[in-house]
Amino acid sequence: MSAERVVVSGMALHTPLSNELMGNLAAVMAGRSAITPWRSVHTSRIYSKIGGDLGDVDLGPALAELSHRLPPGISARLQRLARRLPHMPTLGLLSVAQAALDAGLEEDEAAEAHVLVAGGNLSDRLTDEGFARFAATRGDIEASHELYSLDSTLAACVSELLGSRGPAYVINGACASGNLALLAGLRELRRHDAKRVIVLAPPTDMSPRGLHGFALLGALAIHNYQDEPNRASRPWDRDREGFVPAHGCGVIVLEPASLATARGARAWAELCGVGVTSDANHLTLPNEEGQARAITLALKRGGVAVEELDLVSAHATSTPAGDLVELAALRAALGPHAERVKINAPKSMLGHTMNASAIVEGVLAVLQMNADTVHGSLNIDNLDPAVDLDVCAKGPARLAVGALLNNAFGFGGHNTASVFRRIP
Amino acid sequence: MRIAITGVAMITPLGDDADAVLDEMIAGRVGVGRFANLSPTPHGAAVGGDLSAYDVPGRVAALRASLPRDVGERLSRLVRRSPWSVGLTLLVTADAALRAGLFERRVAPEDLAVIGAGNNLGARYGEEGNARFTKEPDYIDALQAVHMLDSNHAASASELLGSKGALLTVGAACASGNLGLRAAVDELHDGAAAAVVVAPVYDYAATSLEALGAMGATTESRDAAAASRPFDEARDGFVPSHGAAAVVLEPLDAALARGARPQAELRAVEASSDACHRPPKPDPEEQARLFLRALARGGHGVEELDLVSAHAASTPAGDLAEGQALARALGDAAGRALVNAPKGALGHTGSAASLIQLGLIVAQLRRGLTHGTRNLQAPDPRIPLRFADAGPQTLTLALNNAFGLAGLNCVSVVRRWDPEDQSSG
Repeated sequence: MSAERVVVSGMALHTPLSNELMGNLAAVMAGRSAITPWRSVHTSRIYSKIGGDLGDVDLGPALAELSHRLPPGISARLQRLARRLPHMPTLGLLSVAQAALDAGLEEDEAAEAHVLVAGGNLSDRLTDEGFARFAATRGDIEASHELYSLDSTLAACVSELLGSRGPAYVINGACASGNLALLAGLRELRRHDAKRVIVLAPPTDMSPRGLHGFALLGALAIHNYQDEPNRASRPWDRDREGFVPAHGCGVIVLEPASLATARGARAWAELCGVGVTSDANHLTLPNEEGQARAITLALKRGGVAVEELDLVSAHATSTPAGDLVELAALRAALGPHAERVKINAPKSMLGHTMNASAIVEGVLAVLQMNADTVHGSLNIDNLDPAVDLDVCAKGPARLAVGALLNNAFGFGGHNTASVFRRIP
Repeated sequence: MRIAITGVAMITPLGDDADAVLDEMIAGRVGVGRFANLSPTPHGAAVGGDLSAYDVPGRVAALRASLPRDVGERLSRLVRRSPWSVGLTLLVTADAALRAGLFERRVAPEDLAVIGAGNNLGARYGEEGNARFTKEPDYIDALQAVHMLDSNHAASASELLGSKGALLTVGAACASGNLGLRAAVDELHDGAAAAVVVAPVYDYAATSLEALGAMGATTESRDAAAASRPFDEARDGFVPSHGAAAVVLEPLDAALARGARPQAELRAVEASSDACHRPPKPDPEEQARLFLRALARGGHGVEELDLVSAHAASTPAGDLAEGQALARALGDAAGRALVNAPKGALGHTGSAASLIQLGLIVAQLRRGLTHGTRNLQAPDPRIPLRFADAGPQTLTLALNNAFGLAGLNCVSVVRRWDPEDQSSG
């Protein structure tokens, strides 16, 4: 096994704030919120009324614009797949194409990629609509219902887009899926002869039923700030209530540093290591010890000293318990250095992009590292008195980030952290 | 690093013990009947391998007799509070861990990894939930946000075992089981002492059955015993079936040092894709390359192969592609290696299929005994392979095939455990 350095050689990011990398960075630096009343989700029968919505975005202009810039084979396949696939998978493929462009991949280079799709239960809205139609008509269902209900089909579609015969599969750890996919990506490169890996974290197409399930669990912000959606997601604020669900899509291209250099690619960052632990609890309780172990493991595997960290892109979902448990875990794992890092909460602006969050936020953190700047945590009007670390309550700051930690924790005791380092 | 398979457990319509299932298959019995928990749909398969009437409380009680007390209590509590399919996941997990002796050998919780294999598993749970939601949104399962997640299977298994190591779920449709093994081997290389891979039952919904029927993927036969006929000329689509399985993997040397009894050795797992999601168009050339790569990765030549447990789901295009790929890859060895297809007797257990096959392979290697392929009466003349009969054989090396909907492929290579061979080659 080679433990060669692995770099991020391409990225894409699609949120309600922007469908471009720099547009997203500018928006979070300006403290803009992606949260609005749901437009694409029927909310009349559910408590979830607000979210980050990509369900009604017109993808036509971006597809048309890309068609001229992509290698011809990829361009033709993207147009063909876009005609066939539902909206959210199309948005995912569009983002893969953007990332392939960002990485400067030629057709044959893209075809060498192993494909990882981060997440699970990605198409619940589509699936539920099929259930409802079938129940109402007892027999009227598209033949493609099952095919496009399967998350694995999206992995196959990415392979088709890239013309890749390499392994393609889904990797799932609920809201920690993105970091698990980065771990799998390192293994594809180091143990499975991959020359490059495309990690797609597609938007989670939540159904009204699914959203209602989160509300019934008491996990969502559904009471306060519903008339001011941009203020509802407020990690570490005294009045935080729960998370605000959101669509978001991120893509990361991973390559061994030597191959990226050889083809003259730009390296955004080094992906040093990923730590994964669990809590032996299938429910939703955050666990300080398990989170701290994941952070420590990520640093150890990545060969990164605690003191090298300058930024933590926190999981911080704006839940009363979770936000504080994470800070305690950071203290436990980083020791006194926890007081010297900037800790920011991308979900304060983007909401919780669910399965995609670790990739969406990982991309955003790498963009900050490259711009020598860190965004603030929005909506901290009254800092929770229990918070005793620098959670960027006062807004953005200039900062040379040498290494950063990207946390993601999921239901069922999934604890993950990834560590990225600056390219010298 | 050599990898030992130290425990395998399964629940199938033909039984919940690999040796017993193998005996049933050799005796010519079929696990296909009808789904008792689903009403017929216009185009959906009329036949299916059903576990909805499986005696869950009875199995919980039987396992509790052997499990450590705290694990038994967790098993009982978790099964009672979980959806049906998660209950089966918990049962096979407990059984595999017992068979591997994990509870006696005290693997540290932080060093135990749990890997789920499968995606979009809870279709019927979702279909019923949606019906309830349509009537009265506030009366859906209060824990739906947890219970609807594919990742909840592995997370529940992790709670049962008390594990605190890596926890993740991989999905590649019907190739998920083998992909789970592949991820588990990676975990062992990165330091896990043991990895439990669990492939849950695929909980078919009426809507999924109807869509698969409308797609032309499933059989139109109404004759349950004869519907699933891998490689047979009269095959017309797969038979959906329930089934779940779990496997425990450990580094061979460490497992032996801890007093484990290896059941077989996992030599390699390799994956690929067809770069074409629709219409599902299996690619024999890609498959043949994959077989050879997997064998080479395990340090084996194609001439060493004794047994192929084929994916062969009884679909016209899929069986043909796999058969031709095998013939191509085996070359001169095609006259030697035996091929069988358990789906003739068991139907297609979806994401669990390749782990159930693994369990049957382990039993066949260990006992020097092959099962035949149920309903293979007139082999498709375009498929020049040597099909196994039921009976004794000398077996050392086997290939375990799995191909998932939309062109996702993964195969594993398994070798009989020879206690004399403890070199680390």
